[in-house]
Amino acid sequence: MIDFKSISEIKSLVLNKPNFILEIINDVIEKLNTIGKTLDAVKYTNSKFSLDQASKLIQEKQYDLPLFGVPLAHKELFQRIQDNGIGWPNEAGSKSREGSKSDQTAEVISLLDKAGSIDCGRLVSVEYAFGVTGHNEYAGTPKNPWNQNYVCGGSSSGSAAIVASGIIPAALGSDTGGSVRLPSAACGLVGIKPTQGLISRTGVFPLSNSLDTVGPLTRSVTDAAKILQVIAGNDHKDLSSVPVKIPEYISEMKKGIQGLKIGLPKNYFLEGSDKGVSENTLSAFRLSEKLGAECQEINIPNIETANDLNMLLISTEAALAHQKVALERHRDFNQQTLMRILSGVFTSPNEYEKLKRYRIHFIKEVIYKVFDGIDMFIAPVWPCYLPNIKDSDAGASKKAASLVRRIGHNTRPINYLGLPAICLPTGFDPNGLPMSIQLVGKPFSEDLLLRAALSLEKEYNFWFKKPNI
Amino acid sequence: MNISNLSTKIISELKKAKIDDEQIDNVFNISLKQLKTLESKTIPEDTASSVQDVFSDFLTFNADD
Repeated sequence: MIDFKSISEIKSLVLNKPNFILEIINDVIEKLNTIGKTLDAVKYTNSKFSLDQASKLIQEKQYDLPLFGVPLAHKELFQRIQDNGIGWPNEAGSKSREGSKSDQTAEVISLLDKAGSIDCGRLVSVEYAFGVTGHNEYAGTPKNPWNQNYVCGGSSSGSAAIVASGIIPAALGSDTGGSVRLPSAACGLVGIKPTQGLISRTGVFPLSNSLDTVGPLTRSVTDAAKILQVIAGNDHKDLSSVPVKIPEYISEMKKGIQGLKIGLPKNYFLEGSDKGVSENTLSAFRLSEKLGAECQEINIPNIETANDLNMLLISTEAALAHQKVALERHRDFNQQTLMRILSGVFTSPNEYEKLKRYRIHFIKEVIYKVFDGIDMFIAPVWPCYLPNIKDSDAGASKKAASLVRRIGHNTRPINYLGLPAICLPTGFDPNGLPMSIQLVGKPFSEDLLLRAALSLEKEYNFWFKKPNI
Repeated sequence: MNISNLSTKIISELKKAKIDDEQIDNVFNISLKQLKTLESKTIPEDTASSVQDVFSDFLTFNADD
């Protein structure tokens, strides 16, 4: 019914015949409960709530709302409490939280409601959003729609699987070390990791207070911009929020890539990635130049330790937030999650203060030097071709720590820097799984990233490719 | 290996919570390696107080540029 349709296409359908929204919602919920469950990607649906929300929208006739009648579903970290006081599940993908319910509605979910979208459910997350491959023994390990033997990446794995299978045009995820970009890249989607402070995290299950960000996963750059336009903005309840003027992303991005200054880091990213991945990134860099961007090689100072320090900051803050339950109910945790939370308990209060202060110093040092002559830089997302589910199921083995470290090689440093990034699919690897690049920009330059991404998207034309579900 | 008093106390708590010994060794070693990386870093006195402040200054700097 709306399979693989864009937000604009869905809006056109329902504006002509508003009652059609109800049929669409029924169809989406059915697909979430059939295809979605087959992919192990769906946590929760509530057809009565979704249909009531749609009926109310039809009655109010607010046809000019930006997401009028558009069905969405989100990572299970995003809380919702209904008007009648019933909270949606809030288990964060963990048996340790079995039966937990939402006690509030996340700020971004309220914004999407106000924009006219219909909330169709919650999608599987890696336990506590703490994992890069997507494995989850309790909630399920989402299968990649492009090849179900392969991972979706983590931790917004359910969001990626469902959007890539075309059931809905967009879903929210969270990104603390790559959890929007890794699943987006694995499933051939556009994913935005926003500047720290651009989008509210109020009502979103926390992993790391310093590093958590919220962003959309979509099939196109335009749809990503449309969701971003709705959810970006200051929230006084979120202490990381920064009051900035929000650009008109849709009109801005049409200005194209011409004249944008794009850097290719000579150090760290390509040298830490496999040959095929590096070549894909180089190819996108050359394409950017061909399309009119001003391209140059750059150097990013002292980036080599950012991955480890980001991992330490996540573990330390995850331990601060969840140590008690991790110790009391450790048998209810996946071994890898437990390993990562517990590795944060050894950080002393003084070390934690130093960790946060060094990050502030590092961000300042890097952004003024790196963005002196460029608007953004280009880098790979995954450092390797996508692994299959079986081979990447490392649990808490000795192999796990190095695997986790390696997969986040290109994404965690960006969280550490607090910078915005957009992940864009470029084609397929030799196994037939999607490949991607990320563009990383100055603080609050999402508009410029969208400009470059839209121009590149037109060349790669990945939007027209669909997995065979 | 130099184990601080804090680490000894934490290891004792992990053992009390019946965390597997091998798991304790594993997480301690991961932590030790990352904390050593942190130890090597120096921070200037005039470091800003928050990431938000750094970003706000950067936006002002770019606007004036």
